[in-house]
This record gives sequence, structure tokens and C-alpha cells, in this order.
Amino acid sequence: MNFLNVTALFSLSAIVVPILLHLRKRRTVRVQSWAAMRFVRQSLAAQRRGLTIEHLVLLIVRCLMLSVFVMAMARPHVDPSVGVSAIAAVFFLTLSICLAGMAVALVSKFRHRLLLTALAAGCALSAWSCTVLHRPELPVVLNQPRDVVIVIDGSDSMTYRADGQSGFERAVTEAKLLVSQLPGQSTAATLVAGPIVIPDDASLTQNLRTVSDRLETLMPTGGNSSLPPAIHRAEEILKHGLNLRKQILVFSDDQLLPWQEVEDELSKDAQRFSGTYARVLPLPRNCQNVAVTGISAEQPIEGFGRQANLQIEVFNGGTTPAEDVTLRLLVDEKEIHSVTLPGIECGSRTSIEYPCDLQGQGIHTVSAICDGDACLSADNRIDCILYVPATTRVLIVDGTPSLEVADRAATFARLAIDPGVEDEGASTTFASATLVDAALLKTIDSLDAYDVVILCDVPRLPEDVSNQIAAFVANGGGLMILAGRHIDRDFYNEWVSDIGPVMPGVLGERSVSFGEEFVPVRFDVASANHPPLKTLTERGSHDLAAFYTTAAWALEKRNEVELNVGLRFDNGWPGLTESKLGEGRILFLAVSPDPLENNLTTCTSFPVLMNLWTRYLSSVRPPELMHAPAYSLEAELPYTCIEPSTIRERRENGQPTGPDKVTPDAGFESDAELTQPDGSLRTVKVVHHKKHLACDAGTVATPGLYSLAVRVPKHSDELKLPFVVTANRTESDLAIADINRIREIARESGITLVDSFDDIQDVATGIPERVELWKYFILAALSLITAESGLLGWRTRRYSEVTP
Amino acid sequence: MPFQSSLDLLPNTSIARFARVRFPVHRPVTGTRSGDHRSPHTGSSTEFAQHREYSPGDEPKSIDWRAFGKTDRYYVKQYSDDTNLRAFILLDCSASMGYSDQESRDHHRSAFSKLDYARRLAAMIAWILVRQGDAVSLIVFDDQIRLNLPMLSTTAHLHQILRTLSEVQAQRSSNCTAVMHEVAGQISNRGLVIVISDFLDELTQFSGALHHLRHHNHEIIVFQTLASDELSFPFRHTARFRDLEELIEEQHIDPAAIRQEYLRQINSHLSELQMACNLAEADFARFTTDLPLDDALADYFALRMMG
Repeated sequence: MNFLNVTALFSLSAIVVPILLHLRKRRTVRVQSWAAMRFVRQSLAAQRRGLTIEHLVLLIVRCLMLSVFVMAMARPHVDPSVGVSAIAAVFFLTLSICLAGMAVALVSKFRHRLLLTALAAGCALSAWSCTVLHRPELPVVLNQPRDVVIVIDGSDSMTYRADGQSGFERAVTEAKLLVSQLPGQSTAATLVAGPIVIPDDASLTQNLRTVSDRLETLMPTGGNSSLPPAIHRAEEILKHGLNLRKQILVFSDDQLLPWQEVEDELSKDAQRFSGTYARVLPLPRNCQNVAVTGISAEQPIEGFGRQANLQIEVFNGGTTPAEDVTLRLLVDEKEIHSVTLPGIECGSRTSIEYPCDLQGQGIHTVSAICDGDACLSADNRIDCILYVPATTRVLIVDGTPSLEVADRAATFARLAIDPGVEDEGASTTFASATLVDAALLKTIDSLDAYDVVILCDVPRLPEDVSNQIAAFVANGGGLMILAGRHIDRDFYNEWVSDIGPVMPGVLGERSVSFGEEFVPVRFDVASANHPPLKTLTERGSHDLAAFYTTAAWALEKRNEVELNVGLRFDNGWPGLTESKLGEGRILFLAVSPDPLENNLTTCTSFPVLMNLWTRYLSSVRPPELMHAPAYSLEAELPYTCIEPSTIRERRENGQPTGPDKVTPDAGFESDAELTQPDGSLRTVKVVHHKKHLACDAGTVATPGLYSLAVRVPKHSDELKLPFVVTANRTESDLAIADINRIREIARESGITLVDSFDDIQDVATGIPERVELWKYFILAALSLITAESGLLGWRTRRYSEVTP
Repeated sequence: MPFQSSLDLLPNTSIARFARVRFPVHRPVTGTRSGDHRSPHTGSSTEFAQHREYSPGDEPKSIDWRAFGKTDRYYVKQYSDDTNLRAFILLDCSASMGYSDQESRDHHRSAFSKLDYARRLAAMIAWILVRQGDAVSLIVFDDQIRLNLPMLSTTAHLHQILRTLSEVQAQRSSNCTAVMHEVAGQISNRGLVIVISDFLDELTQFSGALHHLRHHNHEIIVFQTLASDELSFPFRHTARFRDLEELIEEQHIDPAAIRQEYLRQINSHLSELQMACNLAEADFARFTTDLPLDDALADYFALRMMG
């Protein structure tokens, strides 16, 4: 039994009212002083059982009365197969309870009580037999209005064409016929079950012509199918329908994998909606389908001009072996390699490795295409995006130019970041470092030419220079402070920009160990939780534990704001602390690479760490360019060609309005053309930021390569930014499920399998789904009200008849 | 408290109504001086009582010479003796006597409890007896004798009785049977014993107590004072009933449901009480607090006059 108005069931809590009244009445009665208490007690001993049961029966009848009334308000309904028996069962059960109550509480004569008890037992037996034995035939009532949701499998397998028509097209044709034959007042909605269920905002409409038009425009999404989420979504939609009869009509094929998914997901739900009908459109029994199911780089690509090993996986998901399959590899849509595979058995996979050079920084599209006869063409191609990061431009500020070169921290920092010697096999380094004395820093007009600034043991800076660096950070630049023995604590503590302090905390005392009391401080490697450090520690080979220092700066929290500590010393002091200022990041290292104080410069992890930290500060990290299908895909595409001045200029033009202050939300909007895998175009909104482009691509269900064409200010050409929507290539496995197996899965999952279009037509136009029971519950409530009144009346009469 | 002073116990209307009423006594009593009541002993009155054979020591003037002429034997003429009455009024002042009708309380009328009714009854009887020259003793009891005023027939004593009655409070539990046994053991001369109580406690030994008193040739009058609620049980709403004498724990009761059984129980108890009085040849009268005392007492005297 289900309910049309489930919220009314919350009113069942009203049952507590008679119970509370009953308890309150017991609790708040008046106290009567009485002399002849002896006789009261003797009378009570004789009457107590009857009294208790009388009150209990009254309470039960009142609670039952409320419950039945609330149930009627909730509009219960049942299958017609059990409808009549359920009605009779409810009636007999209510009658049985009333009779049993009367027998126990009201009737004092044994013969009458026996008679009533027997009648109550008979009614209870009748109720039981109604539910167990009585199975009337399905009544068939034509032309009853209903709510219908049509779910069409939009996966790749439904695009297989037989007799000039694909399964998807057949499903659409049949669905249109069904919609046209739906009885008046019916409502309908359509869903396509692809990798995600679309549309996201489907709802029932009474305008069946609109539904029919929408069916005309439906396209298969490709990729795999997701029938269980689609059926659940359909159930949600049907909950908003006003008609009593509700149906879900599913059109799919007999591919094994989706039905296995149905079995896994839906057969667990014992209380599933029972009006789901499935029409299975058969796939060909013999087909060849070779698919490219995977492509990936062996490891993250760092720096262009280096070879990357690509791994490509080919799978024969058809029912016949494949011979002479040609596999082509394209980089940036240019074919760089072609190979012919001799033969692939059914159900087997083959992997191919190919080393390729990715020339130039930025985004590279890599595609693998297999040519040959195949039932499905959508899975013959696979795309992926490989990103080659740009060179990080680092400005190293030397705070101690007066020292010998070998004693300066800046010397070691530069050597670590940019040794000036090209790696073997690489055309350039990951980062280019420029060393400048602190005193000459004011001669640099703009820091926009750099991604990261590193202050190496810089005692203090002129005010204009410090403001310039703060603005640089606020606009998205990175700042690293290597705190050596020469720095001026007061300057750093008072270094405040327009939008906040530059230092992550307050610089405290400097701890120094000398002579016999030499107690070196080490890094607590277990406390390393900063992303670059985690990258290093996860790789496993590092010598951070060998580091020690004789001096370090203490950093304390400012204004009770907790420090974001990425690494601590073993005495608990913060070693590495990070903070944000505007769009940029600041890293504070409590030691500097000073060979007189510590052995940081001799640690083999030092150059690696400096590279990781500069990469982190410059936000040069692999962008997320491979996305799963989503209803609202928000892609962030790397985009470094817009200067802050452009943003400022755009802002001044009113896009958007606001104070001329760089904030994390700074940027301006524009339109861009999105090219979809099938070649169709649509316009999307993009927001230009300094270092990335945010694109709201909306609902993206079809797997494949997408390309965003955006016009860049001050550039004549359009910029093409690609991204890939990934596919679940299990769909390429065209193993067919036996119809009996599908029937079994459907039965376990509460789905009725229909064999032909005529059958599903009968379903959509004929059989009523549910029978409402509220009238019978109202009758039961009225009976209980009568019983309660009768009981009270009888009780009053019984006691008032007694005269002294 | 309906009685502000002892004189409230004897309103003028009652005095006027019972001014000529005499308290009838059906059995001979042993008084301390001459009076209006028949004594079991022969005396000096003019009313002939019986003949008795002459025995040495008898005064020769008392010989009935006419009887000697007829029977040739000496007989002495004896005349009945008139003496005053010695009346004991036993008043139950247990807590159960403090009950007054629910309806009176609900309508804010002066709550006239069973004890109020009983002490007015006791006052009226004492006044009648003292007025006709009889001696009265007042015994106030609950589970034991709490107060025992001496046997006197003076007006001053009557005032003391009235004062005592006005000060009596309903408290403690009742044990009427034990008190009656105790009183029967204390008084030797035959007299009138008037017991005023609600008699709601156990009657198992009550009959024995009556017979104990009868054994000493006392005339017994049992006045039962009840509230009308106790006979009708008029309550409708569920309530917690609390024992006035605190012998039984509080009970949560739906009165309507137990009314039938209660009335059966109390009627059975009243029948049993009346039966015990009849067997012990004790005079029994039941007064309910809803009846005016003067009317009820007048009716009782009328019945008693008829024998």
C-alpha cells in the first residue's frame, strides 16, 4: 500500500493527543476526602480489571479512530490485484477490534462475551483470508488519465543501426506513438539515460504535443547508459503528478552490462515503485566492435621537449574477432604515428606504448583512432589532454650582497632553482631565476615579468618597494621569504599592504644555539602537510630528516588567527608557514639556505623543494582538463595571456563595476563558442581571470573532445582552449543478455518486461494502476466514532441507572 | 465551624420545640436518688409492686392483713421505687465524623459535618435529660476514650457538656467496639447508654460489645449519623479518594464505575448494623446530615413513645 499524500502521515503524531489527555486526566484529578473508604476499596477490588480494560478499550478506539482518519487523509492506494482484498481486510480487521474490545470490556454475561469473542475471531480470520486467499482478476478500465515518464537509453549501443534505423530512433518513434495515444488529462515527460540523465529539469506536462516535439529533437548522448538513476529520477518526477495512475516506460536494448547495473542497483530496493515497464530492442547477435578504451601518459609531464610515453588500450567488445585494425595517434590533430594491429580476439584487450615529444608549453590534445568495420563508431576514438607547464620566472632578491658569494643564501637559492645548466634531453629548465640586490630592487619598474619573488635574508625594504611587492602578490604573484640572520624583525612585522599584513604571523625571537649547549633543531618530517612537501614525501626519496639548523625564527599567530603551518621543527616551532594575500600566496621559511647556520644547502631535497615551492607559488599546476559528464560543468582553463592591466582596463569600462582593487573574483565576462564532439556549436559564458579562464559549459553529457573558442583582448586571433569529457568505455562491450536473464533481472528489480510494442501500448492506455482506499478508511473512521460514542453512552447509562 | 459557642448547640427554636418532651426509658434503671423512672428495686411510692412472704425483720406495718385473712400466711406488700436516670452519651469524634456532604461544600453552604450533627444531637439529649432531672455523663472517644465527664444532673454540668461538645475536633481513627467494651466494664449500675457514631468501621465485634452492655442491664440507644453522600455516592468524575482516617492508601477511582458495588457494600453493612442492634435489643436510629435534626429527633421520640 502506498500513499498519494505522504505528508499527511505526519498527522499520525496526533495519536499522542488522546494518550496525553488520558495520562493528564489520571494525573490532574481532584482529591476527594472520604470517610467510607473501606467500602470504596472493597468495590474497587471487584471492579478494577473491568475499569482498566474499559479505559484501555476507549483509548485504543480513540487512537484507532485518529489513525484511520489520518490514513484516509493520506489517500492510500493499492494494486488492483490486492485492492478488493485489502478493503475487505481493513473492514474485517476494524470490526474484529471493535468486537474484541466490546467482548473484553463491556459485556459481563459469559454467553454474550463468548459470542462476541467468537465473532471477533471470525472477523480476524476473514481479514487474514482476504489478504491471503482472495485474488480477483485484474479489472481493465480503459482511458484513465495517467502520469507517464518515458526513459530512453541514449548510450552508444542504442546508436547501432539495423534496417536503416538505430535503436534510439525506433525508441523515439514508439514513444511518440504512445504519447499520441495517451488518454486525455494525462501528463508526460521524457528522459534520456546517458552517462547522466538529461534533461536535468524534466517535469510532467499536460501538453502532449510539446512532449512529442521534444521527442523529435532528442539525440543520443553516447557513452554508457545509466538506467537506474534515470528510473529513480522518473520516480521523483512522478511524485509531482496529480493523476492516480503512474507509469515509467523504459526503452533500452539487450546489452548485458546496463541490465547488470539495473540488477545491482534496483533489486536491493524492495519497496520500489511497481509501475515500471521496459521495452527491450534487440541488438544484432553477430557484430564486430573494436574500441579504443584508454589513453594516458605514463607519468606527469614536466617541461616541454621531453619524451612522454603514451599508453593506448584497444578492446574488442564485439562478438567476432577483429583483423588488421589500424590505430592512428594524433597530437594536436596531427597524425604522428600509425600502426596496424594483427588481430584481436573477442573480449580481449591490447595495449600499445608510444613515446612522443610534446613541443611547446601549454595544452596538447592527444587522440587515438582505430579504423575498421565496427557496429559502433563513437568508441573508435578517444581523446586526452596533456598539459606542459610554462617556465616559472623567479626574481631572487639578495639581502646580503656584501658577503662572500659562497656565504649568501641567495646564491644557493638561485643554484637550486636555476643552475644555469640545461638538463640532458631537455630544451630548457622549469624555471628561470634572476638575481638582484635588494638595494637595486627599486630600479625594476614592474614585477609583472615575474611569477615569484624570493626574499633571501633581506633585512628590510624601502616603503615603495615593499608596497610594490605586496601589490604584486595581491595580483596573483608568489612571494617566498627565506628568513636569515640579517632580517629586521620590526620591518617584517610592520609590513602591511592595503588588504592586510604580508607576514603569515608575527615574527618573534630568534633562537640560536652555540658551543657546548649546541642543540640543533631539525624538521619534524611527520608534520609535513604542505602540498609540495607532500609531493616530495609521497615520492619517498628525500633527506629532509638529515636537515639541522643552529638558528631559526619563531613565528607567532597574529590576532588569535591560527597559522597555516606546512612544516614544523622538532621543537614545535613553525618551519614553513603559508598565507594568502589577495590572489597570491606567501610562503615563510623560518631559516635561510645559509651554510654558516644550517645544512639546508647540502640536502639533496633542497633544489627539488625550491622548484616545487616556486611552482606552487606561481600556481603552475596541471589544470583539470579531463571532466566527467555533468549537469553544470565549470571548467577552469589555463590562460596566461591577459595582463592585470587588461582586467583593470575592462573594469574601468564597467565590466564589472566596483573599486579598483584586485580581489579573488576579479575578472570580466565574455561569450565564447563551444564546439562539441559532434561538431555542433553553442555559446557559453566565460570569465577571464589573470591566470585562468572560467567556463560554465552547462550540461555536458556526450563524451569526447570539446573546444572553446574565445576572443582574447589585444589579440587578433581566437584562442582555442580544449577540454575532454571522459567516457565510460564499458559500453563498448556488446555482450548480449539472454531475454530470460533480462526477464529475471526485471522481475527482481520490480520492472515489468513487455515483449512487443502492442503490449506497451496496452500498458500505456489500458490497465489502471492503483485503487484508492480513502473512502473505506473514512467509513472505518465513522464506524469507530460510532463505536466510541456507543461505548461512552452505554457507560453513562450503565452507571446512571444505579440508584442508592 | 458551624458552632461559634456552646450555646449554638441549643438554638432557641429547638428548646422551644422540645420544652415539654420527656426522654422515655423502657427499662428500669438504678438511680442515685428519686426520680421519674422506674427502679428495679421496691420503694416508697404508692404504686403496688408485689407481695412477698414475711421474714423476720420486716416491719409489721407492712404486713397485708387482708392477704393473711385469706391465706393464713404472712405477706408483706411491696411498692415500686422511682429513681432518676443515669445516662451515658458516647460520642465518636474520629476523623471520619468530620466528613460533610460534597454538595454543601461545592455550593459554599455552611459545611455541616457528621460530627456537627452528632454533637447537636448529643447536646439536645443532654439538655432534655438534665431538664427532667436525670444525670448525664459524656464520653468522647475515637480509638479510645479521650474525655469522660462525670455523671451529674446539674445545670452547670450541662454547660460543661455543651462547652466540651463545642470544642471537640474530628481526628484519629475510630474503634467504637473497644470503647463500648471499656464503658461496659466501667459502669455497674444499670442506666441508659447512648452511642452516637457513623459506625463505618468493622462490625465483627460490635454485636459482642452491645451484648456486653446488655449484660449489665443497660438500655442501649444507637444513633448512626451519616452524610447523605455516603448513602448515594453521587460523584461523577474520576478522583483520588483519600481516607479521612488515613488507614487506607489513596485510590484513583472512577466513581461511576464502582457506584453499584459501593452501594451494595454499604447497604449490606447498614443491614448488618441494624440486625446487630435488634439482636441486642438496642434501639437503633439513623440520622443523615441532610435532614433537619429537630425533625429527625422529634420523629424518633414519637416512635420511642409508641414503644
